[in-house]
Amino acid sequence: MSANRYLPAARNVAQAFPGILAQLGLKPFISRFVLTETEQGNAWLFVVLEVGPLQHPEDYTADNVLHYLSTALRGLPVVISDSYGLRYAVLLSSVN
Amino acid sequence: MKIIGRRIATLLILTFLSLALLACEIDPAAPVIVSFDTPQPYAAAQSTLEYGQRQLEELSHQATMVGWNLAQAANAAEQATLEYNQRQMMELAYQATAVSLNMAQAAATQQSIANAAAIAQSQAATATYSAYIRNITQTAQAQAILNVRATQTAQAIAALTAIPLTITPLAETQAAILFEQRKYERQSNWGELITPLMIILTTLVIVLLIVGGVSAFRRFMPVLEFRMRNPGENGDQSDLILIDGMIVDLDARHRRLTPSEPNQAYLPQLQDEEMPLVEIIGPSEPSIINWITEAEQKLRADGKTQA
Repeated sequence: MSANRYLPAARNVAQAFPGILAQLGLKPFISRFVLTETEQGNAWLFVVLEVGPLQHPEDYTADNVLHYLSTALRGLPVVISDSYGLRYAVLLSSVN
Repeated sequence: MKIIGRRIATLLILTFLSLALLACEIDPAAPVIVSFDTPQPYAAAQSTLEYGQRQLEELSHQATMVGWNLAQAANAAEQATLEYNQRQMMELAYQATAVSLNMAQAAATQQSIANAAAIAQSQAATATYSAYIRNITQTAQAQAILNVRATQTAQAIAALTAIPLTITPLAETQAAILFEQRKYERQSNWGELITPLMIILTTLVIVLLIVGGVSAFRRFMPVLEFRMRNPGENGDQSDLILIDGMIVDLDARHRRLTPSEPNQAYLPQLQDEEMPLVEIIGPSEPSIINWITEAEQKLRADGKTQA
């Protein structure tokens, strides 16, 4: 399976993401967008952040922030992945 | 002391007399023994008597001397007692004199107080009498004034009764009444005019103050709002000028914008001007595997939580 079919959706999400963070009062320290698709068919868009300790990383991982992002992305599931860095994971496909 | 001294002197005399008698009878050295040698007992007796008399006289003299001494001692004691008593008497006399002086002073004070009271009473009586006389005088004067006024009233009544009212006093009275009425009317008219005028002027001043305040607030509010929103920006810059409700910065051309260094984190790398760059990486990459695992765990956890 190729992740290319999720590329337009991924671009739309990537385009909207900085603005949504700005609406929350958070500076969009986004370094890259990574799209991948698992063997089970789950397409994930990882929004990699470069947030230093002085930028209060906990502000980016709050539950209300995740809920706001998911709502702004029309209900796409958004979770935080904070091992070895900080990133948002947006599930573009349906849950398999 | 005197009696005791006399008794002691008497006892001494008697003692010496008894001793002299015993000496006359027993003493071998006495002239009685001599009388054996000389056949003149009378002489011996006479000598004895004379000796005894001398002895007696001597004893008497000694007793007298002792008595004198005793008397002197008694006299000395008496003298001391007398002196003591005299001193006591003098002190008592002095105290009595002092007491007498105090009493005299007290009596004098009482007398002076009594005199002052009498004088004050006399003055009070005099003042009372003067007031009484003055009241009487005033009463008499008032009575006289009342009498005069009663007389004048009676005269006026008599005159009014006797002389019919002519036109002149009536007209004068009416003119005075009219004058007073017009004066009162003028005052009331002026007051009626002034009171509403004052209310109108006060209201006008208040309205003008409100309008001025509102217009000033409208004119200066933009500047205040600008200053409040930008408290630190005008610290080292020139003041802004308000012209026709517009904030004008005359030194704007001298100000240079200093753009901050572009942070790549702000700007995702864009494929073209609109679309951000999205990397496509396979799930077999080691780092991506961890990301996916963690994300799916979180997703499942969230799903359980939501469920």
